[in-house]
Amino acid sequence: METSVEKIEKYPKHKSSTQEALGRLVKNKTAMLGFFVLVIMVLSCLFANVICPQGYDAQSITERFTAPGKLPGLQYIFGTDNLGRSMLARILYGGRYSILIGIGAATVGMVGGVLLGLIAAYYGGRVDNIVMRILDVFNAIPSLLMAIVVSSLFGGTVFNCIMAVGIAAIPANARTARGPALAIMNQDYIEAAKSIDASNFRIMLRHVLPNISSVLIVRYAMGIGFAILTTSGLSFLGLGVKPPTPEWGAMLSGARQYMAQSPYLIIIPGLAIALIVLATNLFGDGLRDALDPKLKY
Amino acid sequence: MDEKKNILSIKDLSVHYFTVDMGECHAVNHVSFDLGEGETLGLVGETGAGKTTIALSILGLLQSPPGRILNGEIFYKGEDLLKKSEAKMREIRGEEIAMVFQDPMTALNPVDRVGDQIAEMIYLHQKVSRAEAMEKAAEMLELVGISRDRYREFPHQFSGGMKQRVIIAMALSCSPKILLADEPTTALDVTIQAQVLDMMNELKKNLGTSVILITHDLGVVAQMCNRVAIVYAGEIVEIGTVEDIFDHTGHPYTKGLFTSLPGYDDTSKRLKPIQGLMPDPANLPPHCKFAPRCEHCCEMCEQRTPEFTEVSPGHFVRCHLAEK
Amino acid sequence: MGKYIFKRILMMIPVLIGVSILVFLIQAFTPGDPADLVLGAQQSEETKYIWRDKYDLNDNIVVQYGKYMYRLVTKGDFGTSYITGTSVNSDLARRLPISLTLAALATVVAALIGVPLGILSAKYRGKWIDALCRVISIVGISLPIFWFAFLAIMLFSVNLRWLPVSGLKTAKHWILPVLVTGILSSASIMRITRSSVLDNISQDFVRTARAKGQKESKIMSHHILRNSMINIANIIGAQFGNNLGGTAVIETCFVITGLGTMMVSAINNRDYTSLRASVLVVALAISVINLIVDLSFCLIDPRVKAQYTAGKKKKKKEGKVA
Repeated sequence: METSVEKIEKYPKHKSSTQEALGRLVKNKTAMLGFFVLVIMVLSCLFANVICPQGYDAQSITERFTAPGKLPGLQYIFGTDNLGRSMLARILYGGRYSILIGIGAATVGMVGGVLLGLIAAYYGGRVDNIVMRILDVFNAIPSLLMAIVVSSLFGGTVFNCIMAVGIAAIPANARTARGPALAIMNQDYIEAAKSIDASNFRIMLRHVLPNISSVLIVRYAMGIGFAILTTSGLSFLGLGVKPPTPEWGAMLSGARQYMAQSPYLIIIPGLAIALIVLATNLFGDGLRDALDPKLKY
Repeated sequence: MDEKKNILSIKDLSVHYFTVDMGECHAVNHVSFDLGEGETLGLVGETGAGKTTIALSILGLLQSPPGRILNGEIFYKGEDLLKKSEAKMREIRGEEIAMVFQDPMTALNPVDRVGDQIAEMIYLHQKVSRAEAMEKAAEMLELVGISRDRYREFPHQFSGGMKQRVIIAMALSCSPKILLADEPTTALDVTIQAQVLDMMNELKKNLGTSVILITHDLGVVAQMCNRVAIVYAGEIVEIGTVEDIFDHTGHPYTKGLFTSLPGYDDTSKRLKPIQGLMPDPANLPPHCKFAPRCEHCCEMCEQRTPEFTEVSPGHFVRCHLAEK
Repeated sequence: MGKYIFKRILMMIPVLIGVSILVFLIQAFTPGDPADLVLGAQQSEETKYIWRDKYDLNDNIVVQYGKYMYRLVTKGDFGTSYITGTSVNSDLARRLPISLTLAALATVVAALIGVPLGILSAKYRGKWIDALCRVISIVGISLPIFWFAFLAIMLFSVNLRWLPVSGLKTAKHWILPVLVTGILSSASIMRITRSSVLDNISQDFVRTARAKGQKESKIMSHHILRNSMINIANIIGAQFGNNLGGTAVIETCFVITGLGTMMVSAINNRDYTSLRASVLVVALAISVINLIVDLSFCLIDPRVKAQYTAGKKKKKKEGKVA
């Protein structure tokens, strides 16, 4: 007699849905392009101190406003700024802040949003009503404006930037989480879980969250790009990270007076922002296609 | 019967779907049949057997990609529909050949008034003013037993059975020569089913329309059809009159269909379902498609493709057992 | 229908009250005495007290809020600026039309670009034109708007000298800010239009229309687009909100004296009255836009209208989420 386990093992092994999604993701050329650009950018920013050991503040008065490629050497590849600082160093060190704030803010926004959304969907009724009405209020304030207001409250440090951009993202994330969670709450297996007296926390964590995870993962990936974009906007307005911290948006904002004679001072930081956000969005789009093959667009 | 003219004849139709995930699906394989004037032909088979694909091919509505008609001819009034231009096909669709779709819940445009959706069809094909088209649409509604007062309502205000009647009214509004009815009653309650079928029969008689009735319900076939084609894995395995199929069943698959049905006169017998599942259309058995599930399967079945054998006039069976 | 519009307008009131509380809390949470910041810490307590009294800042926060709301509702008075000592109403009256016009024009441009390209992209899905549109739209949502603005200024104003660099004096001045905002905001509209049309393109009712013998162009305009309009109207409304909320950035780029620059300078000067007023006005404008979008749903989709006119409150909320 075969045991049931042996019987099961006889069946052809099917890939898990995660493996299948991963397979689809790897086959997606644009998503992989985004991924590689991201990896290269993140790694070079992480190793900024190796690539540019002089740091982002080293000035050289004799070599101010050097256009890219005018002087030989890696440090001058992007030229120098108004104080003769290597643009490469400033971009790489600045990238650390952008990436850190992007990931941090996306995480804050996601955790806050998912918590709110799940609670609203799970408890429903009055709780849901209250949460939704609060979200209605936030809905009337666009996220950039929200970030501006919050950052004006706390002032410009990296941590405050993360909080400002993250909090601004919470309402949209909460709505994203609540919709599908509400649909899941109406499924029979939630009823089944309740019937065996599973705790609320367990139901949310084990039954609801995994089933809305693909939406959230995509949202998170896109959220990082969006957070980087918002942060750079804040810094551009002088409300985010303050100079001399080399944040990309702040660099761009500081360079606008040299727009006419040294356009590369504007082009390069902007290109850095655009490239990293584009890479995250390409990757996020690919993730969505991979996780939800029904939505092939 | 034989003297009757054929209004539609399909010759050697093959349709494949080309998909990234599943490869090449052989949805319809070398299907041939004729439809006589005023006749009702039943296309019977399981879900995924290729019935709907046949109907869509006739109308030229196959989604392409992924679908592609590889081979075959579809003669309507002596002309091959597959060779017609898109503009010519648009004139035929609705006016000459109309279709009733499977799911009435989704087949109507949710943001358009019910009456206007019928009028759209009439206005397209008949040289009438908009007002006349609307009047005719209201008459069609009454014809299928819906008050013309409901002309200006939207699909969400209608029940499933009423929606299906609207769709039938729409399909018949230009008095088509052929009606393709794709499981018109599957989505409906049994009581509504009977109503809809009676109505279709009535209208068919009055308008002289030929019908291809796609279904998996043999009861519906017995009630509605003159002839029946049994479709399995994209092939017609048996075709004949209703009497041929019901009383002189030739193909093991058709027999299987009958034995898996509960009959009200022989309650003592257990139901005998057909073993196994439909073969994967991307990976069909090379010869007899039914061989892996057939209880009469022998060596020959796996070595040679069975011929389509005429066992009695007009009754064809694709099985080695019938060849003997 | 009229009853619903009335109800829907009533629903805006709690939202606006919520926003007003929120913006009022900004000041409560900010550390430090506004008097110190505006007058300087070295001023005598008495001077500061008198100054604070002028702005009701000696009252507790609830009373402050009550007085503020009373003046706002009864007299339409948005308060007195800490910096200039005059009412911010005149500032608002001057700046709001500029920002509203800018956001509205940009949104119109965005819709004019985004909707047709989105439809085209969906219609020719998988073809080169779709690939091109998708590249454009994903680049569009990835570019920082101020960078895009600077590139445009460098090209069209500095190098080609076709258009003025900054300000809003003539019609020519408006071209760059409107186009820059509009083009970037068209990217989102394009994406949503495409996906929404694609959602509907494979629906059964489209097949029904084809089976009627309807022309493809009519099927697109009469059946597919009408069913996609809800999503499209929604994203256009959202983009208007984004453009209005983002005026701070675009106005800074082009040195425009609108609401956005008013907010930025209000924050820098700790002029909370101005900040409060400008955020409130933006929120009001966005609420009105949301209202219009919601009402347009009723025109587009009879099912939405049915939910409202039947007065089924529960269903409405669920419908909004879906």
